This record gives sequence, structure tokens and C-alpha cells, in this order.
Amino acid sequence: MSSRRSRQQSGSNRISDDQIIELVSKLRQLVPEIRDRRSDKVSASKVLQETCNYIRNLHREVDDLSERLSQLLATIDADSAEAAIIRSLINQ
Amino acid sequence: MEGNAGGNKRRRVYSVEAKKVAQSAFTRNYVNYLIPALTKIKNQNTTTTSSDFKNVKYEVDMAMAFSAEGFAWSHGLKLKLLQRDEDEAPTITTEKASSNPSLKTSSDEDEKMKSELSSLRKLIPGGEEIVDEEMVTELESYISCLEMQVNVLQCLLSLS
Repeated sequence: MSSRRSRQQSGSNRISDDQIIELVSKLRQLVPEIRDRRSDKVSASKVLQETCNYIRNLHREVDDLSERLSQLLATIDADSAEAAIIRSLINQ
Repeated sequence: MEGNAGGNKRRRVYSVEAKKVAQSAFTRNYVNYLIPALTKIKNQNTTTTSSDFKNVKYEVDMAMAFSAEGFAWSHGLKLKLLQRDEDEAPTITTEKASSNPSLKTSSDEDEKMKSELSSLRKLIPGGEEIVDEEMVTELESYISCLEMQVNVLQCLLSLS
């Protein structure tokens, strides 16, 4: 890192270099896109960008799954479904 | 930057066991919340499919918020949901991201970083309130909880 401006910043909106380094290194492990690439050449801003994309994808997936779940609710019988769900989750 | 309050959050070594325990706790809490909630929705017998989706989505989000206590994002999510419950309108995310003009001359890369970081903040519920020291823990927990949530939902769907 060439620019080591480790100035103590009081405002919570201005993040220090150290924190960025830590954040980026943690994100490298969390985001599959980057973790699986195993390349240290991914720039910090790319890591942040990929993280944003990843989170947005997860949000979309949750929405989609909720949509399907709500459709499912309309078609199944409540009591047997609950029992079946709980049974199979316990069995896992 | 030494000597920060909340030493636990700065712990860099995460044991695998602790993570697994946290994961199973999340999943258990999530299922415990969601299934009765879904049953309740089912039994209410709402007529429109759109309100079904809204209700289900609400409970899905609530399950997420309640399954991981102690994080800024889970708190922010709860607030957002409760507010939505009150006024039935999509919450307006306050654009409180870093609008302070930088005192130091920033390079282009710095600017890009800052804007990416603020985009990231907006994606996390209550992200505007999260201080920088907590960003790491918050992001880590939020992302892994999102992943677990997807797994649980897929699991529930595959049971039909």
C-alpha cells in the first residue's frame, strides 16, 4: 500500500485505510465470486463492487423464494405441511 | 489504530466451531419463527395472492431479523419492517451516506472506493447507522445470514 494516510478520523463516515484493508480482506473470503478466483489481483474497489452485486443477488433470490413460497401456501394443506416440514428438518 | 472499544469485534481469528454453532442457531431460530408465521398466514385465508406475497415476504424478513440478534442490521431490519407495517408504504432509505467533502485530496480510486462503500451501506438494513469499526462484523454476519436464509427457504420449498 503506497498511500498510508493513517489519519485518525472522528467521523464515522470516513473510513480509514486500515479498516478498508481489513474489510476487503474479509470480503474476499465471504464472496464466492472472489474467493473462488483465488487471485490477489482483485482490486479493493472490485471487491466492494462484487460484494454489492452478491448482496443484491441474494436479495433477489430471497424475493423469488418468498414469491414461490407464497404460491405454495395457497396450494397446500396447512397442518400436514407443517408436520412434514418439521419432520424432515429434524431428520436432516 | 489501536485500543478500540469492543475488543471482541476486532478478533481476527474465528474458530470454525463457533461459526457452525452460530449457523445452526440461526437456522433453528429462523425455522421456529417462520413456520408458525406461515401457518398463521395460511389459516387467515387471505383472498388475494399479492397480499399473500407481501405477508410472506414480511415474515421472511422478520424471521431474518429475529434469528440473528445483536447486529445493527438485524435491528435496522426490524425497524424497517415495523415502520412498513405502520404506514403500508415502502420505506424511504435516508441518503445519509458520506456527504462530507473530503479534507484531503482524494485520488480517483479513493472516490470510487467511497462510492462503492456507500452503495454497500445502503444494501444493509440500517447501514447508514453502522460505524466503520463494525462494518466487518456486520457485513460478515449479514452475508452469511442471507446465505443461510436462502438455504432454508430452498429447503422449505423442496419439501412440497
